[in-house]
Amino acid sequence: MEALKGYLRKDGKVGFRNHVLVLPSVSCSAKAAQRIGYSVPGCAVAHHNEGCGQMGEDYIQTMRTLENTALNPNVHSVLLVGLGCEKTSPYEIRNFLEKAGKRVEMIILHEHDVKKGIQLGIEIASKLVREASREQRVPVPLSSIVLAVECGGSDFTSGLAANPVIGRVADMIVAEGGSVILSEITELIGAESLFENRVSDDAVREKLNHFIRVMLEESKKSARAHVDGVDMPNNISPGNVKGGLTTIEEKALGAAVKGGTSEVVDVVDYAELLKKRGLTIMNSPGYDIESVTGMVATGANIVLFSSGAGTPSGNPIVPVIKVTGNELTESRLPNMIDFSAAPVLEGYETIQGNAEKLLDLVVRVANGLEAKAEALGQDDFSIWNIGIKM
Amino acid sequence: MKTAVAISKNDNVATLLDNVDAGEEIEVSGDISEKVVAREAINRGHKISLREIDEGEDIIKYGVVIGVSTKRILEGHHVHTHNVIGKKTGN
Repeated sequence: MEALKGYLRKDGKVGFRNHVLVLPSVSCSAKAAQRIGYSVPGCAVAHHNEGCGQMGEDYIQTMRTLENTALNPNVHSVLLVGLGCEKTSPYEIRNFLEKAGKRVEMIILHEHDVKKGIQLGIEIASKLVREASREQRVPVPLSSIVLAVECGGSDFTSGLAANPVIGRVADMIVAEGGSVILSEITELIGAESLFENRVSDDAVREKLNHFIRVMLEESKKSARAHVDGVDMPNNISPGNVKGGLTTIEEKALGAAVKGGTSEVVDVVDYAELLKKRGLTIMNSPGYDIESVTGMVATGANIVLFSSGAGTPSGNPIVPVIKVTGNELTESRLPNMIDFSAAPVLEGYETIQGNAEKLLDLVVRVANGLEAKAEALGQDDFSIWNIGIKM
Repeated sequence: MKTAVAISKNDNVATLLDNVDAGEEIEVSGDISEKVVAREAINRGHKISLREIDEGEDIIKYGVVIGVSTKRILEGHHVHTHNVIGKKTGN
């Protein structure tokens, strides 16, 4: 395996990319942020549709996601692009980042008009990219890896090959003293047994059960909960049964196995900063883009994403490595797949052997090899809304 | 040869990667390496029992309990909704 090298940040965290993040504080300045970021190589843009008309917990969650995304160690520095009148105040975000020791600059479109604001933004972003280029990678231990695990576009191979292989990589990283983040609470409903003996702290267990209960209640409110295999809690869809899934436990377990078998040391809310090393579960929906966005804000510096059917999605600041267990998907959709776990299903490789190869790829991507989603410019970013906009 | 996968060595079922007919020998891979003979026709993606499972015994896949048997299941038989219920949900 290659030696792991990363960017050591002032707060002790390790980044595997060195992006200048152009971050709009509100949807209204998102287009200007894109024009700035896409004009300057070395910039990443986290464009989104949030920021105004948000209330209570929904507003707090959006602010937390924006702030903690900017704190991610894959980000060298931040150019905030504000409009000037939004609820998700760019001034507050700037103060938060300055207090945390993050290099941050800001432009407010109300002060410059749009075209001049974009021109000024390009100049500032170019300056930050030059500053970033002075940073050098240094040797870092495997424990520097903060791995987020995700699955989307699942098929019957996901639970049999890709997710167990990702779970084995997760266990290897935790064994090295690193961190793993598992999310998608909707896909833990029915898989609680997988975690019963893996939580030693009562408060952590109660928090996990609470998040699962809330998601279960929400799912019951919606008619869509009875469509396409998301029937909860007691039913799985006719298609699942036809495909061979017998119980809801079996279905959920196929998804949850990607977190590995380590002790659950902590449970955090969506986009909350990671507090402990080891396996942490984060509250999120099963919607891939929102889930990955949340885990990146939590502090993930690399993502393993399993997909039986294939999906192109990525993230602006963190490499997303796609794994499939389906050999047909790998050959038909090569731009959506980085790694094949199909040899496990075909019997040519063991889970352990395949997982060791995948860990090797994780290290190479961490060291700078572009994941397919990065090469495609897939900077998908979406914040989980938990309220109605006013 | 037709194949099936068992993720954990504790599993008492394996998932078939091919459609099989009664009497066909199946090679099981994963953390278990053994052969099992199908005693009835079973579809790809469905589960086959790797050993005799008593009524009321846990069904283990991925190394964890995915349900409980409602009747005795002989080795090589189809394990599905006709002989298994969820342990958590009871259906």
